[in-house]
Amino acid sequence: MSHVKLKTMFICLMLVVALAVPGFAQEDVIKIGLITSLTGSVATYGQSVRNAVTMGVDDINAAGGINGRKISLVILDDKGDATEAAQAARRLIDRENVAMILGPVITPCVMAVAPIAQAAGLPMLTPTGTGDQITSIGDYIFRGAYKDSFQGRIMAQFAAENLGIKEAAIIYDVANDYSVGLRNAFKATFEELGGKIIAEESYSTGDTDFSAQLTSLAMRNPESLFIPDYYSTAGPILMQARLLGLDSVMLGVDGWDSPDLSALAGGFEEGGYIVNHYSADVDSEVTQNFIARYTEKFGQAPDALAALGYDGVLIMASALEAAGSTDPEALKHALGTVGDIDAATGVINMDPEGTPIKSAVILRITGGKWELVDRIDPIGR
Amino acid sequence: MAWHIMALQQLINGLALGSVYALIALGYTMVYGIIKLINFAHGDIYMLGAYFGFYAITVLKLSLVPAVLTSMAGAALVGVLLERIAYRPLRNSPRIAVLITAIGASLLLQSTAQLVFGASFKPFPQAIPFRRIQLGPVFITNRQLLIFGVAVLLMVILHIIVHYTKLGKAMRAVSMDKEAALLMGINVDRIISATFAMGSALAAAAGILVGMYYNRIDPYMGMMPGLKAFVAAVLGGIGIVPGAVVGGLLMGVAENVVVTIGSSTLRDAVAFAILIVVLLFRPNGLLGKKGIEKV
Repeated sequence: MSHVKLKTMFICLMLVVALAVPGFAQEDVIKIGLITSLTGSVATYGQSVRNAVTMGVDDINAAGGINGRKISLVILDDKGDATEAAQAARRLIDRENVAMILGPVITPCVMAVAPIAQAAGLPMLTPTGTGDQITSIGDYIFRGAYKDSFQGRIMAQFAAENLGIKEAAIIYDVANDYSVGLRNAFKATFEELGGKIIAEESYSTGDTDFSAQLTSLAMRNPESLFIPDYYSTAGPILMQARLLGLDSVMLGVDGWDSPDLSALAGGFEEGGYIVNHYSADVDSEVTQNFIARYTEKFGQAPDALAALGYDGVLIMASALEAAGSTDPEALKHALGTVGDIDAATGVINMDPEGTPIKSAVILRITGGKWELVDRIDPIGR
Repeated sequence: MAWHIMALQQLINGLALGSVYALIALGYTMVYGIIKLINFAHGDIYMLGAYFGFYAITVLKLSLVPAVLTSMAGAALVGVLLERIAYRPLRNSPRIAVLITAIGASLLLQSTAQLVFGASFKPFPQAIPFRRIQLGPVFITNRQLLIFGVAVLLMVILHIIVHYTKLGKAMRAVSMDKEAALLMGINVDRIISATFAMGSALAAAAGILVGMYYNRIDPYMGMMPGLKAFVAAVLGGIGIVPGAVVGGLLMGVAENVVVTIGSSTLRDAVAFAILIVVLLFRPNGLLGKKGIEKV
């Protein structure tokens, strides 16, 4: 009788200990959720972001954490799909109880997650999302990258003013906010500066055959062709364009930046120009230090997505430190006000509107490498 | 440039795309002709063919022709296994059961491919150099030429097999009347397997051609072309081999016309509008005979 009682008590005690210990351990860490695209049509973006974010978090933990608390990461794959991204967000909020969400990587996924985070009152920071509409979803939504309207304007200005281009054609994805936003911004600025858009063609996400559109464009023989899309589509378009006789100056965006672009474009990306978040040629200590360590750790040079991922961690860390806690209200306020962050993509000043004030670069593909052509400082927002 | 040159150039593009549809449609139509099954997993066999070709070139280091043959053989094997495992046990079940199984098989192949090959978009190894051949005012790329060449060659071989060999005779016999063929001593199971093998091999060839032409493959690449090739088969008259070719070419050209003069967003809509129109006004297809369905 007393034996059974003892046994029951023992089991109860074990249960209490088992339940309590992780509870105690959790008090000491700050749990951060990372939603990224490890597979799917934009897999190289997500892998770069994951690599850089884990590297950044390891750095913080090695240096003793934030206000004495270490960061633990919960990484979920959204496959570049908005539905999967929304499910990942639900899981992070409902089951993992994270203090903040980093990611997702691409605009369509961010647009699916942002309303969920906003409704839950949980701060989120997409290190890479550029769609203009992202930050207008609410005051809990922040990003670490520039906006598409900024990016499209910069490319149009560069084409018109630096390259002296008078005529441009555009081919874009009507089913993707990112592509449409960039097309609108490019078109508006290019025409404002006296340029002419002589032809426009479109396609939908998932299309692989662009021969009809590109043949129509080739007949107009445009001086330049603007292709605002991710590498997995821009690559095949570049190849098919050259095969079908288009020899325009190819103009691109940050979405082109991927180690897979060259294979997908069959080498025809050579000579193209893009706007990007950062260049490996920038002579800054933080940038060069980041490049060296990333290259050593992952065996390949970081692309812009990696740099943005790393900077996302820096912004998050500054905000957590400034807030002094993981209270969502305090963290939200800190994310909108931290500044002078010396990061891999340059100096970052956050803004309560959600978009940082930072610079952009123009790169040219020469001999298979991205070469720095120009650096543009922010001109308002 | 003048509009007629543009039209000619677009015609070439359309025929290239149409040849691909035709190759896939042949598999649909052959299988339908013989067991009255719409094999919805056929588009995924085409996807597998592209991946087999990808690995034959990158891992086995084969050159283009042996890679195409390896991939066709691999896809043929998958096709035969698919029939053996998923369709044969249901041969005497209601047709809707087999149809649902086919959709299941399609999803299974897609998910397995995603698991095995990864979900990322893969660039296809460009086994031949890029070239453009000028034909008067228009030109044709060597990839388009390759598509035409391979498609015509495979169709000729298929025609010879169906009309001039014992296997072809047996296939036609099974297609006409399964029981009677069985009574004549034809091994119906073997003939059905052979039909699946041939249809799958043609789809695999199409997969590689598309990989080289568009330079991008992924586990879901078979969905849309599979559905459109199905429309092509219905357009030409499902179960009729030349009908698949005519239907495929027409679909390819129609899509290019729509994108050129209309909007690219209507591309898929037009493909399926064709299906509805055909089913309403000529349910037996362009080359189909008007016949009364036996009840």
